[in-house]
Amino acid sequence: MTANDARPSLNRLAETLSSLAEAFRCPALYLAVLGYALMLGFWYLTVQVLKLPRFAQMPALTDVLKEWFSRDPAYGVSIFTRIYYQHILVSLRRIGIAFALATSLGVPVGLMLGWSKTFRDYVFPLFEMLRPIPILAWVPLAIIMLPGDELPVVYLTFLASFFATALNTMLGVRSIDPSYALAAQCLGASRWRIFAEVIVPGALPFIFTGLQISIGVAWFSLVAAEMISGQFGLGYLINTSYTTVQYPTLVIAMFTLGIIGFSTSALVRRVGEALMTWRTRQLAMDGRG
Amino acid sequence: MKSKWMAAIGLAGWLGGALTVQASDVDYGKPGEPIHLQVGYQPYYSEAWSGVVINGLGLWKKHLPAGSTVDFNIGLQGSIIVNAMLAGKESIGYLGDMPAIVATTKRQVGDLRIVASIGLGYDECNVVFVRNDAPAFANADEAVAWLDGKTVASPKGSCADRFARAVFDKRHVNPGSYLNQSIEVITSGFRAGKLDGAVLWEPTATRLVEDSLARRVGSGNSFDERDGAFIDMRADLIQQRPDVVKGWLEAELEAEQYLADPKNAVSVAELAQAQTTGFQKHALWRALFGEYSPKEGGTPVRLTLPFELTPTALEHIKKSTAFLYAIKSIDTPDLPADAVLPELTAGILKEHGLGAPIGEIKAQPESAFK
Repeated sequence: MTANDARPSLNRLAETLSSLAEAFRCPALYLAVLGYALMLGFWYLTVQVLKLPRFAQMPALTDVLKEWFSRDPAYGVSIFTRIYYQHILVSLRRIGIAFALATSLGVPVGLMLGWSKTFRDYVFPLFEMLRPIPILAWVPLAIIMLPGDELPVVYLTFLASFFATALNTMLGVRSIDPSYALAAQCLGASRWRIFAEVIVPGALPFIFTGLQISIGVAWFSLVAAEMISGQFGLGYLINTSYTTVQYPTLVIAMFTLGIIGFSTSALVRRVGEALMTWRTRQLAMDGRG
Repeated sequence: MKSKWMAAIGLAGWLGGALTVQASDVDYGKPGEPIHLQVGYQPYYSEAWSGVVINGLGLWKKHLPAGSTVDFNIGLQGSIIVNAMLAGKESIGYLGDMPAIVATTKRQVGDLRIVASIGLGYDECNVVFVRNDAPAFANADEAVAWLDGKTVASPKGSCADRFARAVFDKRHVNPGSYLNQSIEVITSGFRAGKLDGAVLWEPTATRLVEDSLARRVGSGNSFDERDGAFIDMRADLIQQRPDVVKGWLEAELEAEQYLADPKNAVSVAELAQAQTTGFQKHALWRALFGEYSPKEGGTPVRLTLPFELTPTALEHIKKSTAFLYAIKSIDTPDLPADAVLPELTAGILKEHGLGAPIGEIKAQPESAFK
């Protein structure tokens, strides 16, 4: 390897270290840590020290931590057990498939809903009628209409995400100033080109907002969807811990779901920011960045 | 800035005010005063139908202080009632063996005690099903062996779950998937052909048979595994209101006597039908009073009504506790010494000059249903 070959790698390393240093200098990091510390402190204080009414019956912070990090957990689930990671991986796989489906179907449907009045007139009333139906109401039909055990779970997780993505995308298209499309038309752009070069990029900020909502909604739906899975998954673990009255495990599953949900949302946000650097620049120029 | 200080002062005031209330005890008033009771009961679990009788016939009205009221809250499975009791939202619960036992091991959350044994049987909570197109089996052992490597479901945390795991353990059977599904999901699962087997309780078990959704192939009788239903009460209710506890158990005694009288079989089914949805009267009758063949795990006595925590009931609790600890369902091998309170029901039976069991429900032929 020559010195020239090594230079890009060194530059990337320097950039990463610089970002890390920046993060440590940034008050946001300390405020976030303080936020978590306050939450845990409030939990410990109200449940174990002050033993406030209602709070006193909650699982104690120390009991949850002891179980979570125990090599021999009383209820069989901790960071040292294989089953814990199996639950996480199964949920991640289901979320991944459901989110990919919701994005690949929701974005085109949303674009069409916003772009074509005829399509909107046909589809939107049905869309709005189906959207408020809760996931739990779909459970019996999902079991009967879809084959296998996994498909109904993925379908239920997908549903709410799909509606969030499609609706935000539609709103994104409708938020675009019509004069942009008219200007492009006057300059001779075809309808397809206007769609591809004006409408889709213009709707991107809404689409990515929708995707962030969508990934969060997918995690919400997971608990309901995994009620029918019967085994594995964080939603399943929450539900089973409830029916078997194993509160420390229930809280472990909730926090694990929260941490992973937060990470996936952050990932979607990062991808969105990377794909929309023009938008970041625009916001900065507007003084809102 | 001022508003932040106001918010902080408000929060401190709320915390301080909250401290003046005792953390975990519910205030039930003084003995003799009217009480408002929240009772968790299970019309969808025939072994615990004394609760249905108390509710349907209003038996509690005779035994609780005048002016008292009772809300009967349906739990689709015992664990839901246990959660409500631990949270202080219900004070008396009608439960299958597993939730009744698990409930007494959560003292850090709520102090619950087992006070009465309301039913002991073999095929009320412990019923084994296979899908309709499963091979013909000579006996229950063969059927359970067939489930090895297959997809089996049961609602975890229920008495049926305890039985299923005990039988699989005893017979060294390892289902390919042992799913935790609710009774509704299991019903849909059989309808969609997604399950090979399930372990359930009555009356859903009989409904599966009557709707031809699955085949009944065995029960606790086939494996010498009892099932049991119990009443749990909150310790603070027992401590503060002995009059209410005694009154409720008097009503329970009357309900069990009513259940034990074969003449009441159809009216019990009618009471259950009025408190459930989606069940035909015949299915409800058959679930507790009807006859099943020995091949299906049928027994000549469908249910024994001990009322008192008899040695048999206590032995069942002890054996089940050891098993639940072994499978990590509870975190203690022994229940606290005062988790089971046999003296309450024993005292009432003594007062009435009665002995346990109160009676038995014998399986009746189809012709008895009118």
